[in-house]
Amino acid sequence: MFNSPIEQVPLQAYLILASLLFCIGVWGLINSRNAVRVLMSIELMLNAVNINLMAFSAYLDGELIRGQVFTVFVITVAAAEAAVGLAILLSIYRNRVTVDMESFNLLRW
Amino acid sequence: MTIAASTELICFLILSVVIIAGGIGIVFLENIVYSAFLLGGVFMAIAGLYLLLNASFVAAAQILVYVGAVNVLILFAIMLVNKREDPKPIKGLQLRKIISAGVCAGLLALLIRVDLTTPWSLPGPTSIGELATERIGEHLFTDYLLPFELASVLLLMAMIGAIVLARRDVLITDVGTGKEVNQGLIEKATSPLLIDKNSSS
Amino acid sequence: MPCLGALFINSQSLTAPGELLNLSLNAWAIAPEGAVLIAMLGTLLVDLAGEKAAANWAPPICYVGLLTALGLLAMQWNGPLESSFLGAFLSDNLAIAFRSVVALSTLISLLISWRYAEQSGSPVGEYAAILLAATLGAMLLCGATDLVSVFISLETLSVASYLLSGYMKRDARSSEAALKYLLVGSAAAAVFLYGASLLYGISGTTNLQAIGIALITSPTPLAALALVFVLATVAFKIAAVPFHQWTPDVYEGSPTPVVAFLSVGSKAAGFALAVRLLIGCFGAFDNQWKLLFTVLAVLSMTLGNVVALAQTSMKRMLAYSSIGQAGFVMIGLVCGTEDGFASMVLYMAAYLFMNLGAFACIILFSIRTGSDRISDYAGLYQKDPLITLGLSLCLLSLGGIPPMIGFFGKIYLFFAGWADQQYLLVIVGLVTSVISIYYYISVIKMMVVKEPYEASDVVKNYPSIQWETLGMPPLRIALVTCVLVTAIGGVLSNPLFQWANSTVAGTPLLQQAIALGSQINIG
Repeated sequence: MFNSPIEQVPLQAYLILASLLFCIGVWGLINSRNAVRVLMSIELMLNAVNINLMAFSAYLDGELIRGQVFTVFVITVAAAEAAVGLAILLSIYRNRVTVDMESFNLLRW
Repeated sequence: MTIAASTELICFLILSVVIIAGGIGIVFLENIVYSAFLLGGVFMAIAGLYLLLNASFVAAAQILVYVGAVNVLILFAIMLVNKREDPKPIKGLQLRKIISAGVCAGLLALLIRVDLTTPWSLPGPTSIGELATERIGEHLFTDYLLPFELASVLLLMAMIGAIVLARRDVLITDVGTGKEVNQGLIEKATSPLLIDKNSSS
Repeated sequence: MPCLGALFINSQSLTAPGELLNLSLNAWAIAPEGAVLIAMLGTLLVDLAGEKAAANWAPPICYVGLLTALGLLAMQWNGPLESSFLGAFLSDNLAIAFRSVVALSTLISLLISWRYAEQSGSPVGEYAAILLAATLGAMLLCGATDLVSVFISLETLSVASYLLSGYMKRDARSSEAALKYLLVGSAAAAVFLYGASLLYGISGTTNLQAIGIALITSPTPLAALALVFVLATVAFKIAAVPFHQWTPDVYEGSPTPVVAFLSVGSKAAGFALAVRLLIGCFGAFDNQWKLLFTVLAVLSMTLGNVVALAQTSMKRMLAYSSIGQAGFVMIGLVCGTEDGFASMVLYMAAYLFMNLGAFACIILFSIRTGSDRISDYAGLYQKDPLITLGLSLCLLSLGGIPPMIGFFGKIYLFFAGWADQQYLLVIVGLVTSVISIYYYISVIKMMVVKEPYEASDVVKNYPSIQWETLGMPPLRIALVTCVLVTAIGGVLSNPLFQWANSTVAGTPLLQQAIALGSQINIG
């Protein structure tokens, strides 16, 4: 699409964007009461990492683009994790009939 | 400033606004279905960023896997566990939210400070542009061969495990003795488990 | 050193992927993992023939696969130190030692699993397959020398662990444990990835050795941030305080044989990862990570052992005690001397036998009685001498009472720590050992000293002892083996000491760190 070397947007802009997205993800991870929303927050964190990797890959490693390969692996793992997460969510929903994180407290001392 | 360059800058700004606003919406919106659709939008905007970075293959993978698989899976999860819940109010929740927001803001400040103060070794080697897809293929079969093969094991195992956990077994017996059993932990619970299956129907 | 670094970076940048095709993969290094993979696929195929066939045929396939893997590992011992898969994997002695610990812990966990899985009605074939996949991930993690390989093998281990801890799917406790583990584990993985992306940004490569060289000259704040992120994930994996929150919940809710694997195999892989990342990669930040690790070790030993005092559930008590044990092992890592590393490897091997022996005993007890409450063990001596004897020996060993193997492991750790002037760690270790002896002994007292009329209801109704049921003989073999090694291994520990020392001697990474450390001490 844009074959010209990327100069207009500095690397730092991408990094700051990734930091913002990561922190939003962390906040959602801590405070969401719905287990599905916690899963979504984790996806946000993973995507923040991907933006970081892609930006480094384009700006610092344009020849070998290892960051892009790393991103492909992260995407793969995220898909597997989401599938497993859904299965576990279903089995807990069958047992407890709720997805409220605050009610998952059988295992406390 | 050339037209291409300013277009790029404008694209980046629009995409970032979409990503950040979408992210905040995902975390804060009351209705989880809206959050899930916003998540799809965020994934697509991120794919747009990858296009800006000359990475068309990863952008396609992002759309196919994140929007096509992960987001659909999350929507399925929401539909399957679709029960209107009025979460019980918990004392001190508001305080906890504020404290964690403070912690996250601190983390953000730290990350941004490090991002800005670090002298990145710019400019790196020139971009290979449209050859990226070929280069990724070469990587996958040379120096990243081991993780590539292991990823196949990971996916196989995740698939089998997810099926085992999600399927309903009709009749379960102990293979050794032939007795009927219930797929629970052998250690019986010491406190009642609060399983009220009647309310689910 | 910088000269060597420049050379390395140069060779890195010159070799474009196309040219690398001519190099050999040196794939022999992962032959043990190949054996495990074939066993996993075989188990899945056998499982297609039905539950009955799986219960009969999956065990022998797994044994053959794991024993072949152990044999192949023994053949690789002191082998040529060539990096395989173009820098993604290195099979040095350290990797071989930790991979052996992982494979052996899987073997014993499987031996004690069959009866448990069958009695709960869970599918056995898939259980074994997922456990073998976890083993595969853990074994590759022990030798991975590239961020991408580290990440993928870490995730293979983690995802398999989430599945296994939720395997009793009709039990709310098991599902809850799995959900908590999944959410915390994925968040930890994301944090690790953020650290990894920063490391990639610093160095422009994903090879750990090249990153380590780049870190020597890199800006401090960024590297420190990456260090904290990566360290948090390592601490999560080895369950060090304050990243231990998930441990008690997951250990209590998961099926007990899975807990046995998590507390040994997964933890061993975590320590191997710690060595690779901290010593191989953050060598330039030696003081910083050692300081952080000292704090983690002190907190782990203190909190793990003190909170274990208050537990009423056997599984939960072992969970907290395993947090404390991880703290002891970290002493060896912090020392960074020859003795320190050797004692770490030795203690890991000793911990394998004593902890799995204890788990074999509590699994046998819960299979017979359906309980894991400590108070239900009262008066067990009258009814079941084997469990009483086995559990007593293993717990004494965990506490570090003399003739057992655990005593020698612990004394070696403390000796190494004292020699390296880590006085704080050693003193905290000694004090918390005494505390741990108190709660281990109180379990033994519960079993042995009570009069018959004081026995718990569970023990009064104790079933007659049977060993014929499917899956019981392997459990007995595992129990007897672990207890024997725990009891006699201490007296005959000389070969173990030699093995641990030659592990350190055959690992260039550790030798470099030791040489560097002694230089600093002299200078």
